Amino acid sequence: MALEPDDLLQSCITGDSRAQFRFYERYSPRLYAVCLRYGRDEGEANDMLQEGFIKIFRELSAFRGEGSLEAWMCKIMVNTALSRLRKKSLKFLPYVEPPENLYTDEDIIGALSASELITVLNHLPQGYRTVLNLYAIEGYSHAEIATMLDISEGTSRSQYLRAKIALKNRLEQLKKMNAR
Amino acid sequence: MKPRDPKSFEGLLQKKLAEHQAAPPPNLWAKIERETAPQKLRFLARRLNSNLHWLNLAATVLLVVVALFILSPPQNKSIDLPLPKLNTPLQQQLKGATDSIDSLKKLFHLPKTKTKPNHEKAN
Repeated sequence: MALEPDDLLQSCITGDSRAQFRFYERYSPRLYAVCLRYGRDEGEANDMLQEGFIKIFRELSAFRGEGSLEAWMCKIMVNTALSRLRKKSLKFLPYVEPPENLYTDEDIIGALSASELITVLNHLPQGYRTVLNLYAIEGYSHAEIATMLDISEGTSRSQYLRAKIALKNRLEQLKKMNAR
Repeated sequence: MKPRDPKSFEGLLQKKLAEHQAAPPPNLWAKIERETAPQKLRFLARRLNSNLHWLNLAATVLLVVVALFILSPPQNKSIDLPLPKLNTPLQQQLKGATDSIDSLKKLFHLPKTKTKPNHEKAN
């Protein structure tokens, strides 16, 4: 019998393991995609998902229903990923020369599937990838990113620009290779 | 998630990746379940704790009642128990005691005790 989201939530809070499994089945694909964007590889993404879900189950009773549950869980997952990355001390790399743009953004992004795009993202240095994820995909401002990563707003801004250039570089290379 | 301009580089990336889903490895749930299993116990402990709170409150109330009962001032009634009056005079009772000793001695074939009056003992 399929439980309504509210019932499922309540059952998970009481520690019902069957309900928790249903909850996991329902939300893990979306959250795993978040982990794959932040993790260096699948192994790291798995660890992030595991740690994040344990936190979610522990904190579920604190969810007040303000905003969507999925957004709340995504935030927990992002914070889990960031705390793991902070332990490894994020490295921010120097400036990269911007390439001459042969293709439009739509051309290079539209040509790839989401999983291919994640693979390209995973080849970016950790610092670039983190700022790019937070700014472009999660939609945080540079001021918020600066607080989250304990860096200056200027560092966040410059790292984002460098990340964007690096990503465009790789995507253009890929496009050229595919065009041959 | 704050939406970016859908035509910008960020917006295109967001559109492509924000709703993306990927199946996690099947063995991952077992690991999560192992860690979250004590959660049920924690929930029960939390519930027991809140019940204990009421139990503590009830015990405190009971203690206060007992303390008030003990510390309340005594009423002016006598607590002496009424004793039955002695109908037999004391002298007769003492005589009865020597008779009992004689009958015991008779039972064990001992010579009869001769009680002397005090003035004879003095001589």
